[in-house]
Amino acid sequence: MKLVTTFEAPAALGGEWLTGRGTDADIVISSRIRLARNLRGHRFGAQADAEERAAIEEEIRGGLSRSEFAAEMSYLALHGARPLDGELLVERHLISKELHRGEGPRGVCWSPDESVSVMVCEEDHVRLQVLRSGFELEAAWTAADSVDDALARRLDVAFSSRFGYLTCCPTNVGTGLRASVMLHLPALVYTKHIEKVFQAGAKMGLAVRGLYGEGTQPSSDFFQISNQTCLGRSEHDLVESLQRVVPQFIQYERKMRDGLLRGDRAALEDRSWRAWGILRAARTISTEEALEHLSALRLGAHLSILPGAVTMELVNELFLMCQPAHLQRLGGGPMEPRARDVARADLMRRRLGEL
Amino acid sequence: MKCQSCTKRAATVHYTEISDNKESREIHLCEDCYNQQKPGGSADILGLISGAFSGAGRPADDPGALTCPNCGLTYAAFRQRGRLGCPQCWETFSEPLTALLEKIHNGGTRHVGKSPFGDGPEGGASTAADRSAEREIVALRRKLTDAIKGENYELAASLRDALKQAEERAADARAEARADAARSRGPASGGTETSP
Ligand SMILES: [Zn+2]
Ligand SMILES: [Zn+2]
Repeated sequence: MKLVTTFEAPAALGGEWLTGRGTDADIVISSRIRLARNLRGHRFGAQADAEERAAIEEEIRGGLSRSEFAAEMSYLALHGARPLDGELLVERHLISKELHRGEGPRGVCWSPDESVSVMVCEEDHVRLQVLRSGFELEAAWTAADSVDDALARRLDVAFSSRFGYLTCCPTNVGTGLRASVMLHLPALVYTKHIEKVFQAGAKMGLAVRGLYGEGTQPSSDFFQISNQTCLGRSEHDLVESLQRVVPQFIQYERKMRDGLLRGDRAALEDRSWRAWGILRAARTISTEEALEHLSALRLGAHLSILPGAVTMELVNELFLMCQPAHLQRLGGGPMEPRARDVARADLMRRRLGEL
Repeated sequence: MKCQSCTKRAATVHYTEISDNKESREIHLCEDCYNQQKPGGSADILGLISGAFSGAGRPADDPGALTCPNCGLTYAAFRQRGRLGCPQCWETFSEPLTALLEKIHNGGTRHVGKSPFGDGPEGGASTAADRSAEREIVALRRKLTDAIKGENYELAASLRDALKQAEERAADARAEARADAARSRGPASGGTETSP
């Protein structure tokens, strides 16, 4: 395991989840499995004092470094790392905001393609995550399961036969598993059918969350769907229920896209081409506005409205690179929000203008 | 869709809440109201915890005074913040927690699924030999944790050696099992799933 002191953005711009590959990647951006684990004999993350946290971090770092996966993994201790590195890791989905904003000994371990990450000393001692491009929940679960097995051989994991994996918050106890998919549902939003997805999801015991950028803009075309319960049902059962429900949302979105193409093609084309025009011309642009237009670009690319050079990979890359920490890394230093808006517009013009 | 709480901002968080009489209710909130209602952030646990006891009768039934012998957390303090202090809290508060879990996990109160011992229905170990090796490792590791905690360093040192040997044996066994499996599958080109 390579211990690093800063997060160097690798030559390849982003993780595997940005490639736009995998099943149904036109609608399912990524699939994620998260497992919560704790060490026996230690207080949970938030309750442990600095000394205990240091011992926990050392024990887990040691377990990770002796695992079969160690050779290819990198490890960054976040206490002592630059704040910008933490923000970069958050934007790349390698760590949570909570871990970034936390205090005291804590760290993160990740694989070269950034599909596996292990957060150390979050609310729970270990938060293991596998993130894959497209609708690949089963594959993500298989990968998470094997990393978890490797860790269980090297760590004294807190487990009871009655409650399963013991966690800090009762909502995570049992399997400790959260399975989620990130969906791009622009046609359902545009046709105002998205509320049906919220209601259907809630009825089936799934949580649906809208995602948005830096500011307070309340809605976007991106939604995360995840399991709400994780005790009393097996991992396979939990993954399976998302596996069953999500295709219905995918079909629903496809149906709306087809309907728009047949009934209101001009409006759809106009939306994509306007987004294309704005992103290639704007001199200053906020995260929210950029995300809105990138969403239209993504849809336009899939419906073959826009030039073939607008690929999923490019749009996904722009989604990542237009966020504050990545812009600042690209610009070589800290930037005020206004300067970031200018840098963001520059980036869009450069990458889309050359097509 | 507007937020059910402030009725002003758009709802972005959607989930189901199981109420006292086990009826489920759809919840649609904006991010602000969601975060406000759950200071802990991730879940609707505080509402559930207070709800779980709103109907409790005699004060004698109240588990608030229960205290975890390991970390000192009282059940009353847990109710306030919705987070447990250590793994042992789960044993200490198991009775009142069970009522809470039933609500949070839609009736689920007992674990079903894998275990760190490789012997769950979906555990990592595939053969009986594998499972007994995993169990041995886990047992040794538990003894080691306890020895370190009790500052019994001599015992800890010998347990550490035993653990290392057990891990090596298990790794060898896994490698052998993989090689066996590969042999029995035969060469890659002759796989049974390949169509002619
Ligand atoms: Zn609200
Ligand atoms: Zn405790």
